[in-house]
This record gives sequence, C-alpha cells and structure tokens, in this order.
Amino acid sequence: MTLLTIDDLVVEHRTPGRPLVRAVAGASLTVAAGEVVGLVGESGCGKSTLARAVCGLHPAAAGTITVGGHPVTSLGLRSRHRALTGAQMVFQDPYASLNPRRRVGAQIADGLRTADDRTTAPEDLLERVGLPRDFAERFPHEFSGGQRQRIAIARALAARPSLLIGDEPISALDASAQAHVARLMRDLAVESGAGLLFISHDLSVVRLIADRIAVMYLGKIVETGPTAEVWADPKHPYTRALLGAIPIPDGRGVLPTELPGDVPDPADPPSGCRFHPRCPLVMDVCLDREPEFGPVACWLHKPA
Amino acid sequence: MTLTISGLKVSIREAEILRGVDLTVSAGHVHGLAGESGSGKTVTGLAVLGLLPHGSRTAGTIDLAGRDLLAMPAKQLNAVRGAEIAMVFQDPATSLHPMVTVGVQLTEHMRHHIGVGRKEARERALGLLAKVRIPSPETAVDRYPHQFSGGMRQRIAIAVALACEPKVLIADEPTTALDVTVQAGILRLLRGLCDDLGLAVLLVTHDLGVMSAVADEVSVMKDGLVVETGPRGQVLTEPRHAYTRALLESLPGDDHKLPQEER
Repeated sequence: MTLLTIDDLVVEHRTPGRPLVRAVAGASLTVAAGEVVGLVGESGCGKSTLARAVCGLHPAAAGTITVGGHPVTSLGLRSRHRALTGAQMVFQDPYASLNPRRRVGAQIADGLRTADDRTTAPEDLLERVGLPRDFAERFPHEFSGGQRQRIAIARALAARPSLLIGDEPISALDASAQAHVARLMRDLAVESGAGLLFISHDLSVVRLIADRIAVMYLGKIVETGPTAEVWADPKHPYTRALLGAIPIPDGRGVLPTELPGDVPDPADPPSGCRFHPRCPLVMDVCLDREPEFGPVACWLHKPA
Repeated sequence: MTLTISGLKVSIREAEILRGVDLTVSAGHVHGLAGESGSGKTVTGLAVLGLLPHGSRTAGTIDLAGRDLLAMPAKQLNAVRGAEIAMVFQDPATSLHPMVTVGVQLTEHMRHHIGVGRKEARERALGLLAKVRIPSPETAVDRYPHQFSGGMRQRIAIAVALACEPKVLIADEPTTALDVTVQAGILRLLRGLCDDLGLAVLLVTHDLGVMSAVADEVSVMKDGLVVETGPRGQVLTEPRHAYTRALLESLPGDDHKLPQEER
C-alpha cells in the first residue's frame, strides 16, 4: 500500500529583493507502508525542503502530496487535520527540536495526546527507544546528542505515525551514535508498520538502512531504485559521481574522485538537464531538453 | 619536524582519558588516528595544543623538535601553537568567527606570530586562499564565513591553520560535516599540502575509508590506549589486533553489521 505519494512537487522560496528559488522543481516519489526510502543528495539540493513540504511546513507551489490518501495542506496556526498527524518528523538538531524548559516525559505525552492514546505511558516509549524509564522526569539538557535524538524519536512515535520522516536525523550526532540511531529509526518504523522517509547526505548510513534509495540533484529526483541495485550498478552519472566519491577502506591509498564544479544556483538552474555542466558524459540533447522520465532521469537511460 | 608523543596520560576530573599513548607523526606524512568516540582521539589532539580543559592532569611527553610541549610554560606554548602547530576542527561553521571577515581571520595570528605588516599580511592571505583553491581570492578575502558553502568554509579554516606556515597540522574529523563530493576535494587538498609543504599531519577520523585514502600510517585507539599502529596497507588489510578487525568488520557491507554500542 502506498502511504506517501509525491507527484511533480514544486516548492518555491520567496525572499524580498532576491530571485525566486525553486528548491524542489518537479519531484515525484512514493513511500509504501513498512518501506524505508533513503533520500540522498548534496547539501542544497532540496532534500529538506521536500521533507518539510510533506509535513505541511512549506506550501507546495504546484503538484500534489498525499499521505494515506489525504492531500497535505499547509500547516495552520492552531491545528491540522487529524489524518495528517500520521506524518511525523524527526528533525536534524535534537538540541533545537526539544523544548529545553519542559520535562522529557511531558513532551512525549504531547505526542500521545495527538494520537488520543490513553493507555501508553511516556515511559513505555522511552523503553522502546532504549532509554531507562526514569528519564521521563528529566530535562533535555541532561542528555547527550544521541540520547536526545532518541527522545525526539520517542516523541514522534508517540503520535502513532503511519509515516515517519527523518530530516538528517543523524548528522548532528557523534559519529559512533549515527549508525545506531539510524538503525533504531528503521527498526521502530518497520516494527510499527509505518513507512520511513530517511533523508541524509551520509550515503554509507543510507545504504545500511534503506530498502529503496532516491537520489536528488538541484530539486529533482534523478534516480530511484532498490538500494542494493543502485549501489551495485548506479546509472545516472550523478549517482556514479556521488558513490565514486566515497573512500573505500582497502588500504591502497586511492584518493576519491572529485566531482568538478559546484552545485549551480537553484535560482538560476542550467538549461536542459540540470546536471549537464558537471556531467562527464554530456551530449547535445542534454543542453536543451530536460529528461522528464524515470527511474533514471538521464538521456543515456531513456526508457524504450 | 617530527611530533613524538610518548607515554601520554591525561586525566580530566577523576576520569582517566588517556592511559599511555605513543604516537609519532613525521614530516610529509599523514598519520591517521582511528577509534570510536570516547576512545581518546580528540583528547590526544587537544593535548598536543595544550587545549585540555582546566584542571586536567597530564603525564608523559609530547616532543616537538627537542622541546617538551607538556612541560612548556604557557607563554612559550602560546608562541608555538598557531605558529608551529595548527588545528582544523570538525565544524567550519563554528570554528570560524561569524562576524569577522575571512581576511581578518587569516591575518590576525599571522601579524601576531610573524609580525608582518598589514599590507604584506593581506598579500599572504590572498596567496593562502589561492592555495586552498578558493575562487577569486580578491573578493573572498573581504567576505564573511556565512557567504561561503560548507566545503569552502572548511577550505578557509585550513587556510587559517596554514597562515603561519606550521610544521604540524592536527585535523580533527575535518570532513565529517561535509558532503562526500566535497570531502573528496578536501582530502585531496590535505594530501597535497602534506606532500608539497612537508607538513606532519595528524588526522583524527572515525571513517576508515578516509583513513585509507590519505593516511600513510594508521593508529587505532581504544579506551585511551593505542592498540595498533602500522603502515596503512597493513593495518587496514591485515589487522593484527582483534579490535581493529572488529572496527573493519563493523563497516556497512553485505552482512549489515553495526558498530559497537555507543557509550
């Protein structure tokens, strides 16, 4: 069953006195129940904007997002439609996403109230994320980054989400805590039958937990596929460059390949294929026609 | 110049963080220091610079060209750090001052340590920015850190570290906060600087892939001790110590195993 459907989504950022930025420029993606989708790409490619749009934190300029069959509307000041509380987000920085002046238990209880859950105690959720029950009485500043992110995950889970979204949930954490928190999110989401959209720039962690991977470049999804397949045989030149840049611990001292050039300004994207100025395999057609197909948006891999 | 750490012990409050670390970093070499968090990698780096928290107790020696940095009076140490030994931190967003232009950050300690004039310092700053491959140094030098991307900021932080032509560079997880494509560029830059300038680089990283790409020698730390040291190829392909093997096996591979539980 498809939980989340994003169809040709466009999200724009408007700043007075600056050109309009299309952070997400026609992206399509689906997440099924019990599925873990990893969304990867360089910083500034629009991953986080996409995640925020799914939660209604950014209005969509065009295209549609549905969560469990309900179209996502922009988040109002007071409340949101009941059906949309099924999408819960874990933010990047647990130092900022938890309220420093409220006890951990009270913050988790907010999530339980959202789900109208009167039987579960906040302590039960702490237990599920691998923390002692008596942490509920404490304040966020008493915990390490990894523990705080676990608390943020417990709070998101308390609302009984059908879709859990992690927006770089591990990048603010200590290196050794990263794989654990990522694995925990995967296990908890799959266990409860929810889908997980996991956003990260760390490809090695995404490889560890995602069933399917989506590669984003400058507001577009350029390649999707099962993680193992994409890893073994990346098709889009950008995916190849991204995977080629990961250093391998083989002890041979080979420096990873550098992708020449910078990510272009999203306010002024290149014509045709957005990757063409940096692409080693660029052809004439790439300069003026955008490849608008999937699963690999590249003229070299046009579906028959 | 060779940096030799021998029998280094560090206690912070009541906790014994380092329990006798031996490490040698030679000129023109990158020495990689691996291990999980809490193993003492960062504390080793901080001890070399005399940046340990107040009230830490130390034993052993840190020798730089015949001088023991641990025994050195604060005033003398101030002349060494920043000038002969420099450091690059993990997060360029916090290690650079947000309200001071790149040019001032590059020239401040250059003027203090070497005593060059304002004009010459600016010239040198432009040269440094070019060396770390920042496009159009003339405009970059008058900009603020927030006007640069993360990768460019880390390049600037490296330029700041190189300003006084240090002999030893300590890089603590210099690419952990960056995208892989940007990381590739920074690793190439570090390796090139080490080869061209004959820098002795101590590279602290948890990423064995990074280690494999740039390090000449690798040391693996666990619980405040170096458990294995050797040439890159040997440590990463034929590890002798069980812990090194465990670290290598914990990498995401086909078996999908996970690293050891966090502290």
